Amino acid sequence: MASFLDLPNEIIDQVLSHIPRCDLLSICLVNKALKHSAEPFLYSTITLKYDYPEFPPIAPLLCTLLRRPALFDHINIVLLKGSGARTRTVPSMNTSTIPFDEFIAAVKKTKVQFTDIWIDKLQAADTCFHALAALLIAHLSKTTHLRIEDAYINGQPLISKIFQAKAFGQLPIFERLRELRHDKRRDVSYPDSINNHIFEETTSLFYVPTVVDLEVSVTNPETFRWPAGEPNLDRLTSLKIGWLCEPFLAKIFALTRNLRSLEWRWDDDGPENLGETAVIDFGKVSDAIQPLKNTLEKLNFWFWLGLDDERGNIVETNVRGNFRLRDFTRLADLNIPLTSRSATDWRPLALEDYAPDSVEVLTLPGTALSNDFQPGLPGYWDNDEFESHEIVPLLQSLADARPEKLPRLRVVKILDNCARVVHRSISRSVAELDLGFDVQFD
Amino acid sequence: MAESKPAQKIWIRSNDDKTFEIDRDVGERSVLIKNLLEDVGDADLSEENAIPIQNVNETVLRKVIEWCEHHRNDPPASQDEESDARKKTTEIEEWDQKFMQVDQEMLFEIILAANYLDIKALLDVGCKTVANMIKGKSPEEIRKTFNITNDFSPEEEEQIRRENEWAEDR
Repeated sequence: MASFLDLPNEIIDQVLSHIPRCDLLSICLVNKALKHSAEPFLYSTITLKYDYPEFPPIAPLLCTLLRRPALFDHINIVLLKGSGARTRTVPSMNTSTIPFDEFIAAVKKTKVQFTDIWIDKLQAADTCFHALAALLIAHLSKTTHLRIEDAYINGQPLISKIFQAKAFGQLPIFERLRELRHDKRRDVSYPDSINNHIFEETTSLFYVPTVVDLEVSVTNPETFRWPAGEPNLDRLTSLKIGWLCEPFLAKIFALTRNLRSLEWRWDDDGPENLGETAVIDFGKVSDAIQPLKNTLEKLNFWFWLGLDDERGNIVETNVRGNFRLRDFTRLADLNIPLTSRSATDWRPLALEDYAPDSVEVLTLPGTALSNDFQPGLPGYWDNDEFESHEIVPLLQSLADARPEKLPRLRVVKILDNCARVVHRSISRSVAELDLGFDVQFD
Repeated sequence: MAESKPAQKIWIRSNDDKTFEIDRDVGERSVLIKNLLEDVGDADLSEENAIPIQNVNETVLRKVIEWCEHHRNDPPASQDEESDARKKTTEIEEWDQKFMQVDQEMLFEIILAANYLDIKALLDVGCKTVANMIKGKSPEEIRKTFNITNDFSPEEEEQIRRENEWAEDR
């Protein structure tokens, strides 16, 4: 007689892999054998969502993990979600049910140099949450994916200290962390004294030795200095980076050897520049990424325009220069602002003249396509979206250039907030064109 | 070695000595049988020399063959393509759902046979069927469904609830 519990463990595991989290909780309560099988699945992904001002249940989670440390080994993916602390004060945590003795003992046991600061933060109601998040991260060693959003790190350098300590062996190292996303937002509500620390805090993430996929936002320092000598970035294949400007980014690219994917969110340099006009020079951007020309397969460069500086001022962005990507022989997936047309004295090249002939997938962000330049402001750009009448001639010109200059182009994706509207209005005329590539609206 | 046309028919024998004649491509849905056939010359394929399927009886083998016949033209599943996202779904195509409407013992026998014969897609359908029997049920309902005895004390149950409190839907 075959029955459920007689199935071999690997088959029970395969059944459990199809079971959502809420049902895993029930399975843990069925009997001892099934609890043993289900727990690794229950703990394999930890998602904590900080839904302002409601704290996630990080204290009860840590209680369980610290009492049964073997459970840490099951944790593959950690997603610490929550953003929006901008201009808000951090609420105080209800600490009445928190077993401080256990947590303080766990902090002391780490023997890092900053246990005193850590314990102080743990005992203060407004920083307790951050200290608990630091305690969780300090104990992770088998995790492969870790994402930390800004509610856990904004204005709180403690977690960066944890990363430094783990990178340099003062805490158990990450043995197989491959993907690290550290989504720290610069926050105009914080004084410069805090924002200026972000460079040191975030550059420490480059030292985690196993990471191949890193997302980080780094502020521009006065002088660029690695906190502990040059990190080895040989294994890094994918980097998503924000804020850091061209000259500093070049310092990072001087150390990467195998970077295949780069997503660079160019930003005018934050609070200090607000109210002024930002300038973006595509020529300098191209200079900065030249060291990647033999490895880069995917490039996504974007910038945000018309930044509202919280005082109601719109920051204008001026654009000059041209991309130079013809030498990037492996670049197949390109997502950059289109600079093909201008009615001003700024004379940009047509896309097919700066994109390499290896491009297979071309993504056009709608916001950077506008031709609506203001008189007297060379290359002034605004956030107007696609006008449907602009798209057909644009696609036609790409199709014309394709045989000679973009022979491998097979997909053009058009990203736009109003892509659906545009899609409806022009899909028929696009379908009638014989372009030689697919057009997708996202 | 001379190129030879693969035999169209093969024979497999259940552990209670029932021999089935099946099309070769049906049999090759099983990686175990496929690998065995690669080691056996066509000349050695005969009804008398049927491939013994040691762990599977006639009733179950008949059922498994029925599944393989229906799925004989499925495209081969690519390795590792199954992303975590797809794994989480328990959608089962209609024919397979009907096929799996059998008593529990038969369901587990099919799963064990699919595992032994290495028929990944059938094993997957079986596991999803069991997962669907679990979904949305309370611990007591799961025990009833699979005839499982609760071996926890009330204190232990309370402790498990406390330990996993963080994971409850909020």
